[in-house]
Amino acid sequence: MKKFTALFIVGACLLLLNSSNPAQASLSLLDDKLTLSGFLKNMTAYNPNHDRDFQEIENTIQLEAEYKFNNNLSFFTIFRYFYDNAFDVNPLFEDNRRPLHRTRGTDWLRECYVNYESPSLDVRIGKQQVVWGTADGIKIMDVVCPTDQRHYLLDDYVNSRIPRWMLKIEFSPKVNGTLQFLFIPDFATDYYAPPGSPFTYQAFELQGELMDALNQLGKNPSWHYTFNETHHYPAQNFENSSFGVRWLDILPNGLEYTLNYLHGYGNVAGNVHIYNLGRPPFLGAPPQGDWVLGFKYPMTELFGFTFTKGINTGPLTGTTVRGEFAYIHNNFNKTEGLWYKNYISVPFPPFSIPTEAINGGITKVDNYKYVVGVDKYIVTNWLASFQFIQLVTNKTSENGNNLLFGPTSARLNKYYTFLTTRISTDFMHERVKPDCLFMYGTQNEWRISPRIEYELRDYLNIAVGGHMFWGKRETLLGEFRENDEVYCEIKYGF
Amino acid sequence: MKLKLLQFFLIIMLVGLVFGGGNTKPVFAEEKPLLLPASADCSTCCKKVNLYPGIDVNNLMQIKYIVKYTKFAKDQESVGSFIMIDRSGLKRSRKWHRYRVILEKDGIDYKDLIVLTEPQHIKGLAVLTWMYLDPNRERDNWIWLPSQRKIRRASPAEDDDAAFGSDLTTEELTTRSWNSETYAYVKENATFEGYTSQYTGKTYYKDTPSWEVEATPKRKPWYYSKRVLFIPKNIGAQVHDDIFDPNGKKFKDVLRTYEIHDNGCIPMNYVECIDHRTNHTTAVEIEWIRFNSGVDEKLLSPKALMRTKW
Repeated sequence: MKKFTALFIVGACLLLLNSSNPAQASLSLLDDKLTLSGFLKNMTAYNPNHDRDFQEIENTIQLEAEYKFNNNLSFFTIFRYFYDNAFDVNPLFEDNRRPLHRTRGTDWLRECYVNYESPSLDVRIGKQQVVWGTADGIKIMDVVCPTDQRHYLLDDYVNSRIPRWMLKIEFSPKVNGTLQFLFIPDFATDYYAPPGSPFTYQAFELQGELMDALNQLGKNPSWHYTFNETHHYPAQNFENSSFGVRWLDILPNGLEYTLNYLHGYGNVAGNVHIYNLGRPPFLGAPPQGDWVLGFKYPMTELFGFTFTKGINTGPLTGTTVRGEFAYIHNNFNKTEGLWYKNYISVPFPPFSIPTEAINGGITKVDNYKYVVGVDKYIVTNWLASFQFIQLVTNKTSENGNNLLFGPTSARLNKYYTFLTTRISTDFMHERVKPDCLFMYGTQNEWRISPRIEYELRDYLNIAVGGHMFWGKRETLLGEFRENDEVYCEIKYGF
Repeated sequence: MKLKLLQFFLIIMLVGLVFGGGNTKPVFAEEKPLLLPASADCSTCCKKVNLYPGIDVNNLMQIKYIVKYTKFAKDQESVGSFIMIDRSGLKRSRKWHRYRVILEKDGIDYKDLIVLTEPQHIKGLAVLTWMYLDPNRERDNWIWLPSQRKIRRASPAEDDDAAFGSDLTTEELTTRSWNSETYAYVKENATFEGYTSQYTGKTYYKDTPSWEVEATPKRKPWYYSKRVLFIPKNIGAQVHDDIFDPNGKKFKDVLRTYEIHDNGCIPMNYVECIDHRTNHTTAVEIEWIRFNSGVDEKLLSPKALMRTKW
């Protein structure tokens, strides 16, 4: 780790010293057929209020390569590796050092695809990102690629989106109309930070607390407690593949719209099965047994649309109206509840006792999500962007048991409403770019994220900013109220 | 409250849809043809501008916009860069690849796509613009955001905003049209004394016979009160602008240079703008430019932005 950090710093300094050119252009080789570029980045985030310690000291190197066989055919790949020193310096995250402190598995291969382009037909095959929708700060239609939510939704989406192996075909039968088809044999879902991470959802913290308690109790040899976590991942076969279709068109009056359908994976939901159920060893203790926390991944149907319209004439000239709507059928949702199964007879009252219990249920729900936004330059280069967001679930209880809100495990409301405003501008010939996102949830929860970017040189950029959260612990934004952070980002591009 | 907010948005949307539609015919002022047809057997040739003797100032200025927006050709593709130099001498640059298709049909004047290719931190940033024939209809803009890999219908930047951080305003770069100003000859037979570039050090168009035109913006109040243009007799587009602030004080010099090709094409190959208030300079160098190479209109659609790899 120390070696990597030292190399990063030394490398960065050497590169910065070589600063005679205004631009560090990407490298072109083989008669400009091969282009190489990339960046080195350090992102350091500090929690000034609660922990007073580092939440992120992430050093990232990214290399991008494009090889053009001809004007139509190319190969593109991105390699990325990161190392997060916060897991070394902050004792709070020590338990999660192994899964989170660096790039895992084959994630270093960020994107890798062959691309064919022509005026009417585009084909892209390989690991890639596909993006639907236009919302800021929340994902409504942007669900083709799942999200790495280890930092909630604070990272740039280009970095937090999890690319997938897929085939993308786009056919344009008319000038502005394009039909997109996606075939995604690769299974991937959102990644959530495990308990004890900088941005763990409350629901996972509660699971972590349960797990810790059971592990403690299990240390007593006279009591029987075991704990395991299982994921019911779908088999990698054709039947479990995802696929999507999107039609994009622009009407003569300038209204741009898309119609979308995605057959893919929805929200993961988990509940606890207790096998070999036994009595609690003392009053207030959980029942003894073999506890298994199982996660299931539903196959859902998403139907949606998006639209954008620039108002070109009249008193509202210069205003852009946009929106997106998604209906997700057969999604999973957790419920409250405790059920007993597999009763056996015993020779004493109550003469039959259960050997298995299920704590928490999983039910199927339909979700409706939409956002409507308005953008307008209010004075010269001051852009104001306003959004109204609503998340709706078709039911809040099942057989008398309340449904639970996924991120916090609080009781689910039928409606969640958020309002966002983003103000951005620039100064000094776009060298200084301030930007601030305000997000308010009607459960009296807030997020404010200011950021200022400064272009020191073409190849060297610095950004400082922060994320502040307010609200009750059981709300989406309020659950991170102890995770306020200020950050500094330095990026060297080449 | 939820319903009220929703109603508010629905009203905004409906108003947008109602006001956003429609198109009206542009006003044409020319009586003589401003462009002479290109040779039928030459696919790469451009239409030639008709700088007839005694040309009316309004027709001359229409030709000026034909040259500025390369409407003598069917399409253009170019690569170039912005170099921005501040008062301390610090240089920043933006390299771009640009495509334009001249349509002049179905209410659309032309479509323009500019993709930034350097430096790395904004690589892939792309702006697609559709300009309409109706001068009262605002342009449509789409922007590709590399940080999100997402396309956004962008609210058009205000005309007086700096384009890409340069000293040229959005209006000067893309949106100013013949209808934006009124014109009068200062001298019909002027001689341009030449302009020495601060960036290249060369003197351009010294002692060139020109028309000298004063252009006054119709929009008032506006960030400039007038500009004085020198239009060489063999080009039909201005090589130099003196731009004056609302108090009548000159605050900007803009230099444009052109190549005159035998096939009728008149590509602009260099632009320099100096803002004397900030002592900041922008140089736009065009590395290469091609006309009538068959740029497909489908390339200038939102779908094309989504092709971007960065």
